[in-house]
Amino acid sequence: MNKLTPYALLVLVASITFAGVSPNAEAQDDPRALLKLVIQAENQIKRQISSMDTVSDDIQKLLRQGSIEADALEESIKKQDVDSARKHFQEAMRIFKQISHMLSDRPSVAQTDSTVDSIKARELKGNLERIIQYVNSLKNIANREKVDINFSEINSLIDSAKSQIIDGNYDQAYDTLEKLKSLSSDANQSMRDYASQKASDRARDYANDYLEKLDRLIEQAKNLGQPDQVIKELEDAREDLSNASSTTEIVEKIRKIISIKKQFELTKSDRIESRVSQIEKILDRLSGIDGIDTDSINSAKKMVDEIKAMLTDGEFESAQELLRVLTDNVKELQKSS
Amino acid sequence: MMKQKLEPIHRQEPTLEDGMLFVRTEGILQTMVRAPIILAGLIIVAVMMPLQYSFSSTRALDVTVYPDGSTHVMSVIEVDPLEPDFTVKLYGNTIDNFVAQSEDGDFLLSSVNENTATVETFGISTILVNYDIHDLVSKEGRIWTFSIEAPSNFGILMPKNSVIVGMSGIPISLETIDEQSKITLPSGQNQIDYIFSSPVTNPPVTPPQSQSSSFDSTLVIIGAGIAAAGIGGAVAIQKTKKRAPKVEKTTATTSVSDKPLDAETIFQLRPNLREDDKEIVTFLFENGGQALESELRKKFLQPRTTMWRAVKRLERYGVIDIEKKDLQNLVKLKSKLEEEQ
Repeated sequence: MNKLTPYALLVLVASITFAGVSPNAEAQDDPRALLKLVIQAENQIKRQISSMDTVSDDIQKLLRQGSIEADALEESIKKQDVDSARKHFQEAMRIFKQISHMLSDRPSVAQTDSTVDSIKARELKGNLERIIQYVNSLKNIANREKVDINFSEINSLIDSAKSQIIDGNYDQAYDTLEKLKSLSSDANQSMRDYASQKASDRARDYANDYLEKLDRLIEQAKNLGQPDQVIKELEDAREDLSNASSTTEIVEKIRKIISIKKQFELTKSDRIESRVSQIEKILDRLSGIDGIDTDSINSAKKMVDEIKAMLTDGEFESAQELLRVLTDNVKELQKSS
Repeated sequence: MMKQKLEPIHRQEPTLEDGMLFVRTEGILQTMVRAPIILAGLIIVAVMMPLQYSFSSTRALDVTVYPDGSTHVMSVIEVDPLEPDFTVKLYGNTIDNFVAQSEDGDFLLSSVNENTATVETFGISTILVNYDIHDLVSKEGRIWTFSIEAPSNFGILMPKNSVIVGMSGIPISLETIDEQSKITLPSGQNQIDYIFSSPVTNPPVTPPQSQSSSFDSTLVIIGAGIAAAGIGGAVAIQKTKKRAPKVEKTTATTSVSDKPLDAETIFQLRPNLREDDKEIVTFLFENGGQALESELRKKFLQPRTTMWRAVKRLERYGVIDIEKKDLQNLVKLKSKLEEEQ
C-alpha cells in the first residue's frame, strides 16, 4: 500500500487536472489556418508599405524577420511539426502586430472627405446591422409566440436607413437609426408584457415540479432519521409553496426552501437532481428526432426513474454511479442523433 | 594551513538529533495525515468533478464583430434546473439589445445590471442569450483590438474587409463566409488585432475542405491547390513563395492573355493607388474583373459623385476601362498595364 500510494495519488491528481481541460484537448488545430492568417497579414503589411514614399529601416528589418517566420511556418507545416508551426505562427503575428503599430504611429495624412465619409458609413452600417439582427430576433420570437407586434414601421425605417447610407445622407441616417432604436425598444417592451403573463404559468409549473422534489426530500429526511424539527420546517415550507400564487411569491418560497436545505445540509441530492432534470430535458428533445434509437431512449428514461427512486431511499452513492452511466449513454445518443 | 571545505548553507544537511527545536518532517504523511485519507478525498473529488463541470457551463459561444467595433454575443448556457433564476455574467458593462430565450425559443424575462443579467429560468436547463456589447473592441490608431476571456472554445466572425495583423491564441480553424473570416479559437484569454483594408487575394493554400481533415492530408491539399491555381494564380504564387523582404516597385509592362490582372500585380505596378481605390480594384478582381458602377456604389456605400470620381481616377491610372452597358457604366479591369510615365 505504502509503495503504491504515491503513484495512485499522482494518477488521481493528473486525472483531476486533465478533467478540467478535456474540452480543449478535443480541439484540433488546423495548421493551414495558421498559414493563411500569416500570409494575409504579411500581404496586407507589404501593401501598406508599398504605398508609402519612405519606409524606415526598422520596419524593413522587422518585415524581413516576419517573412522568415512565415517561411519557417510553411516548412513546419510541410514537416507536420505542429509545435514548431505554432511557435512560428505566434512569432510571425507578434512581428506583424509590431509593424502595424509602427505604421499606425506614423503621422497620418490629413483625412480626405472620402475617408471621413467612409468612417461615417462604417459606423452607421455597423449600427444598422446590429439593429437588423435585433429586430429579426424579436420578429422570430413574436412569430413563434404569436404576439401581435406591428413591425411595418420598423421595416420601412430600415429600408430608409439603408438608402440614406448608400446616398451619403449620413445626418438623416443617424436620425433614422435613433427612431429605429426607440421603436425596437417598444417592441421589446411588448414582448416583455406578454412574457410576464406567460412567466406566471411557467412559475406555477416549476413550483409543482419543485413540490414533487420536495416530497422526495421529506421522505429522504425521514428515512435518514433527521430530527422532527427539520421535517416540520420542510413540511411547512412545502405548504407555503403550494399556497403561493404570484411569481414573486413562488421565487421567495423556493429561496426559503433552498435556505432550509443548506441549513440542515440536505443539499446532497440536489446536484444529482439537477443533472437528472437536465438529462430528462435532453431525452425529451432527442425523442422527437427522426431515426433515433427509441430502445436506447426508453432504457435511459428507465434509468432516470431508478435514480429518482434511489434518491428517495437516500442511496446517493448508487444514484451517482448510475447517473454517470446514464450521462455516458446520453452522450452517445447525442452523438448518434 | 588546513583547507576548509566550503559548502553552500542550503546544502548543509540538518542534523536531526540536534535538539528539540527541530521537527522531523520525513514521513509526515504517514504519521499525521494518513495517505489513505488523502486518497479517499481525492477519489471523491475526482468522482464529483464531471458532475460539477456539467452545471452552468457555456455550451456554445459565437461572437460577431461589426465594422464600428461593437460586438454581438450569442451564448448557449446550461443552467441549474432546480434554481428559479440564473445570473449570466456578461463580457462588459455596455450592453444593448439583451434577449434571453429558452432552448425551445420562448422569450424569458430578464434584467441587466452592469455586467450581469438575471434571467427567470423556472426549471429550464438551457438558455440562449443574445446581446450587443461595446466593451470588447478598442482602437488605437488604425488598429482595432478585440479581447475576450472565453469560457469555452468560440467562433468569431470578423467584419468584412478586415485583415488580422496580430493574434494571441492559436486558431483551431478558419473559414470564409460571405467575404468574412470566421475563426474558431480556444477558451481562455484571446486577443485579435485587425485593420480595415482591401481583402487579400487568396494565398497559395487551398481553403480547408473539411474541419476534420487530418494533418497528414495537408500537403496533398496544398499540392492540389497549387496545381489548380492556374496561370493567373501562378504569378501570385511565385511572388508569395519568394517572400521578397523588400517590396520592389515594378514598372515593367505586364501582359497575361485576356484575363484581368490580379489585384496584387496591379498594386505593384501602380504603387501610388489610394487605399480606397485599391479596395475597388480588389473587389473588381474578385468579381470576375468587372462590375457596374452602381454595384460599386452599393458595395462601398459611397455616394454617386464620390464613386464616379474614384472610377475616373482609376481610368486615369490606366487600371480600368469604362464601357456603356444598358445606359450604365460598366467598369472593367484592364488585362495589361502600360509602363508608368
